[in-house]
Amino acid sequence: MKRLLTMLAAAALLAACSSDTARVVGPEPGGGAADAGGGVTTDAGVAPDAVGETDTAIPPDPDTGGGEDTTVEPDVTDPPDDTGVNPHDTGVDPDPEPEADPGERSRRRMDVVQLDRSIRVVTGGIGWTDVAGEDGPSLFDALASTLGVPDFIDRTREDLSPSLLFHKFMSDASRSVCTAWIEQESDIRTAEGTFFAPGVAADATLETDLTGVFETVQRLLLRAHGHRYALDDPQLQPWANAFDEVVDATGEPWRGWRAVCIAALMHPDFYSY
Amino acid sequence: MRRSPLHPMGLALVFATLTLLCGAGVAWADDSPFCPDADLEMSPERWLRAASLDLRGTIPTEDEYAVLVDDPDAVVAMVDDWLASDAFVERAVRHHRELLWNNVENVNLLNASTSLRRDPAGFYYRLNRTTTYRGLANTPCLDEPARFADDGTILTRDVDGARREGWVEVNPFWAPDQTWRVCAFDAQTRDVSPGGIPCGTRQGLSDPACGCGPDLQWCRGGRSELEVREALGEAMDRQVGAVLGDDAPYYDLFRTRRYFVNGPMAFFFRHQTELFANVRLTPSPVPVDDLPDLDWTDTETWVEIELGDHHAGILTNPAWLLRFQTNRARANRFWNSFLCRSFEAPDVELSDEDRASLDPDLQTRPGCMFCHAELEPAAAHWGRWTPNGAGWLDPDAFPATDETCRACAETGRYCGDTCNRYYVTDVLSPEHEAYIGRLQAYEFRRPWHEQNVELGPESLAMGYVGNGAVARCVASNTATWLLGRELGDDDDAWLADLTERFVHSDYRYRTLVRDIVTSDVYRRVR
Repeated sequence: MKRLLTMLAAAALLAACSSDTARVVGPEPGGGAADAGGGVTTDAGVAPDAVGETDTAIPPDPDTGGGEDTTVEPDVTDPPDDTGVNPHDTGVDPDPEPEADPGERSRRRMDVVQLDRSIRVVTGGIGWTDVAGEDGPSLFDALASTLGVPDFIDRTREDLSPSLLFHKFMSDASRSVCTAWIEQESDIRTAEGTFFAPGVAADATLETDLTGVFETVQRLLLRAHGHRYALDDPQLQPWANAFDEVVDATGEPWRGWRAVCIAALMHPDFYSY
Repeated sequence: MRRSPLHPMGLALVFATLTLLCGAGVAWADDSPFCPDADLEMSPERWLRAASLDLRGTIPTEDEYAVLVDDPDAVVAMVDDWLASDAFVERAVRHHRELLWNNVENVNLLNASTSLRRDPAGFYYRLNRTTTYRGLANTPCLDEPARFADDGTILTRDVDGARREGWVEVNPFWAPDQTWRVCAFDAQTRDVSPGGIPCGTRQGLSDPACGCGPDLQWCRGGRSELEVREALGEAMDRQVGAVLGDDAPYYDLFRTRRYFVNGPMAFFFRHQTELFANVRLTPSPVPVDDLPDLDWTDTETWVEIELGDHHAGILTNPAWLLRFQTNRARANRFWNSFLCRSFEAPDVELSDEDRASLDPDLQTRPGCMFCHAELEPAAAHWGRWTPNGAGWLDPDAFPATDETCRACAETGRYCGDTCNRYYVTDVLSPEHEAYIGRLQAYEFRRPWHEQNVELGPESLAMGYVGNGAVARCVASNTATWLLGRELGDDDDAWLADLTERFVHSDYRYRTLVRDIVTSDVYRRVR
């Protein structure tokens, strides 16, 4: 069963990486829930009228005539000119110097200090410790050497590669903190909560509170990734799908939220910047 | 118990796969919500997040993100706030560890004869001293309370061919709330032996009338020595933090006299520096009389003291001197970390004649000269700091030329430890003769380089501050840190601009970091 669910989750994530999002069940722009006449879908079937367009149509640019070919071709029928002025000179350098590239930063993996502190910021204080959800020495500290922190005797450079070993420990860390976080937050339905969007019940599902689910995903992605998505942004969709997949498989919304939380913390937009 | 439906390794593999796919730029993965942003230009939120991680070591809170809703330009104001915070100092210090390598946990500070060993019966003794005390190797005391004569003499019994005493109970300095049973000979507390030997010295270790001293202060046990090593490393962090925290000019790192000690360090400098193995912190590099009155257990209490004028900030910090134990290594590290240069000989074929050269002066020896012509005069700036240690050779006690050392070297008499260790006394070639009796740092110095020994490392560093080499290297190091990549030729103009602004700010590190974090380069991420 566990293997099946793992494969399901993996399949959901991988499917989301493809350009065609299989299911689109997002709320209406403006935050309203999809209508009951087919706006919510399940595994069994996708209501055609609920499938939105994920590829946003780009409106024509009014300044350029809207989608017409704006390439300027020289008029070869012009008579020769003896004024010394090139009649084909449009004033545009045909071989311009490339614009100076201002350069860029390289995306980096967080170090162990950043990971420990950032997870605590995301979860409202829950860190990765020996006993999930309880205070104690950070396991990131204990694993510092394994996770690349140099001792400046045998190793003088920090290894910030997102290796398989790193992912293994991030998996351990995110499972631990997400379990504690969701359990804790399931009992908090007030404004002090840090996981669910205000007013959203812990047992909400896409069927019972579509907007609430999306608002919670929206909040999580801001807290964990620093992405501020509108409620109708297609970027929220796969996360809601992942939640729904697990709820469908287990019947327990908390498991769905935990899966989403784990996915958020293991996402490169969390652990790298 | 709730159990996860997702196996941890399964998740790890899924995400590792996704990361690899994203990293490889697989087309269908690039636009996925499960891959990082494909846009080079960061949103204000992601910019804030990156800056927060670099400057504070953590991500922003929801409230901080909320500020951007009304004012997307608020990032710069928040960056300014964070630059003024202790959290930034902590991050900057962490970055400087990569330049300074200030970990001396592998340096043996105390003689092996100071080590207390636990007998299976539960009492402690010094294995290396058993012959001195009991006349037989590997022989501890008896497992019974010690007995004393009226005059305090330790009474012994002849057992198995050894003079064996009992144990006494002691509260060791590293654990004053614990009671240890220590063999009475090892636990002796007198300061000076009847033969006149100070017991808290290496000589005292060989005197049967000397022991570990009051509270075992001349011995080591538990983590006592490791605590000192750790503290020496942290003291350097604090020295760097003091300069950067005050937003003092960056070059103050090479000039500051501020130093920080905690309980273990104060105890070590006060009681244990004369019990050295090979690494020596004598003559003491810190003013022992000015050390704060701290208990050993005050590990978290750090007190600032002022060092002497001969100090040159981090370049004479004991952790620097112990991490780089030869003067060449000290100069080399300065070259690497603050000039962004390394000593590498050009790929030149040497002639057979050059290969056969035995010129003892590396500044002129073929092949060696490519680096050593520059390295040797630079290393001489540490000439008054002891190799294999961190002692300070005060000119009053250690003149540039010592006639006693010259005389013993020329006459063949035994020169003694001081002459042999710090002065030129071995004449290995005719070229050495001119330097007999001179402090070793003067050996083969050109007349115009002799001043380097007395001027010290501050003079070396400030020379390179003056010509802009340090500024350019610091700007490069800092940009490399914050951009997460090495700079290339394309970055030259930007680096030159950063360097110029850094210099014009009088080397304010926060200004440099601010310039980088608020630059267009930083806001684009790949």
